[in-house]
Amino acid sequence: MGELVFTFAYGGGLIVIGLFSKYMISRMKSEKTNNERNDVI
Amino acid sequence: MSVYLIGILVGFLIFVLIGVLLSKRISNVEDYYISGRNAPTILITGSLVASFLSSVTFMGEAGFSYQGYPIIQLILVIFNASGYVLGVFFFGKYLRRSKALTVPEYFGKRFNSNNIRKAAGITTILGISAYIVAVTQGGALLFSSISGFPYSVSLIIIWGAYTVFTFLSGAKGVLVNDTLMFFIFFLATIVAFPFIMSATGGWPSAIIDASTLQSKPNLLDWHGITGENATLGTPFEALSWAIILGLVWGTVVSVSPWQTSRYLMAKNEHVVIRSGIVATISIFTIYLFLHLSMAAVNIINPNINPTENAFIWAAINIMPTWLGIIVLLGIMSAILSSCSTFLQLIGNSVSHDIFIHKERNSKAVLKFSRFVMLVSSIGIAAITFWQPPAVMWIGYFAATLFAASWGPVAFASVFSKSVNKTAAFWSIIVGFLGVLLGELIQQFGLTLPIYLHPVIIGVISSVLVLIIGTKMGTVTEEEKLFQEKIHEIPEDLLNSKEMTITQKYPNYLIISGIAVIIITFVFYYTPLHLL
Repeated sequence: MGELVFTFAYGGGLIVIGLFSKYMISRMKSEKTNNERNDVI
Repeated sequence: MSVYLIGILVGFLIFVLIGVLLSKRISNVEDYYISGRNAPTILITGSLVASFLSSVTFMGEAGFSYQGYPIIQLILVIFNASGYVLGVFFFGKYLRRSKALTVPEYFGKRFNSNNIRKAAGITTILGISAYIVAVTQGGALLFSSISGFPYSVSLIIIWGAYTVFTFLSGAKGVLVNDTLMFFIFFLATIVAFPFIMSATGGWPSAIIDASTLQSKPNLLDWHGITGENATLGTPFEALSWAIILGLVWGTVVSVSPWQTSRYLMAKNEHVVIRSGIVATISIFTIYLFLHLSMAAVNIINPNINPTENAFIWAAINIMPTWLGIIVLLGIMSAILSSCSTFLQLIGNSVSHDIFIHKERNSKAVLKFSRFVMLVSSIGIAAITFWQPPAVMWIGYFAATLFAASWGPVAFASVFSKSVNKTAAFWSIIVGFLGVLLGELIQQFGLTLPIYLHPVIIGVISSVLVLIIGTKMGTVTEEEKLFQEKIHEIPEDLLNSKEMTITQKYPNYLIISGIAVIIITFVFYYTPLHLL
């Protein structure tokens, strides 16, 4: 059982980090968009 | 002279020649310290991984896998390698916005205090000097065993190789050589895997045989060898060890000077994010193949002594000669790349953070920086000769102390509006002393439980001091303004074309994760439980 958990956890770790990065980049992008909007105003 | 030695010496010669050639491109202090702050993703990634992996990885950790703990070390990697992405988003990108030449300079600018800059500079010099001594000695011992040369001669060769290119070409040479070295040991680890598998019976026999070895029962179980006389007594202890040390090393990856200083050299913030992501994938991949290979080596020879030589023994005795040369050069490269980064940081901290120059771009400062780099390196050589080898605890202590000494202040410097210079200063000092105290207690024979690891003592002390200091002190206008300034979005981040490319990188992490699950399922879980 522990080996199966490990099998999915190791690659799963990369997937979780990938999803986290996706979230952080989209947050950064929305900050960027707000910034641009403020510049226009 | 053996072919292995010739291969290693040719590699050394190439590294030195690269340093000589790139030294001609150094025209100012920014080139020397941060490669003109113009490095692309590939160079930052190469340097991040190469300065992180060293003899500790390919000898110490490989030996621990061979001894009986391959999977538990991979569990540690999950937490440890996550530090790249967390470090980039919570510290690295803000650090780059400071436009500092060194990480201690960032702390000094953030808190408008030369005392903090000097405290961070001194911890860098003390901690990294201890680490570089331990890694240089490990390299000299390995070189001596391969070449047959006396230890002292080996020490001079190793020291000379990294000193020449670091002294001459500074950050430019270190980045290019680190990247070349990264490719060598990455290739060595990946290509070695099928050869070791094939030599130990091929898939799936190699994994089945390794898991049923009488001399090392439970070798491939998730917790490794446990029991009364084992290094890790119970599965719970093994898991606690992996998680706690994984978190400690993850913090080291996020804030340590030899990792985060690479971001100061990045061309823009997109490069910072991309290189953090590619470094994560690289570390997950290298460790997966390395640890599974080391477990399989037991089938042919379960009695390699010391266990730290397991990968080296496999390179010489199992692999074809051409691959053995690449593996040995790869291990030496991992050692040299860490040492060159360490030397660069020590030299830069002495010349830039201890002797603070008002005019930072003059030729005289560049000359002074080079001179200090050489003097620092000679000092390190003297300590390395004087200090007896096999003091790896100093290396571990030096590497992990930054998690405690710098970790709390680094994150607070970015996100806290109320942290002040007094709190930051004492937090760095107390964190450092906390780790030192914990290590000394252990050296006097008292065994601390894993949850009282010296770094945890240091982190708790550092956080407490930071909280108390923050409540007692006040924030100056300069500190407030600088904290706001590093949260301003830089112009280079607004480039839509660059943003489109950066957005693809998390997908690479997800695709790699799926590929790693398939590889682990096929090569590890299936032979163990389904065949």
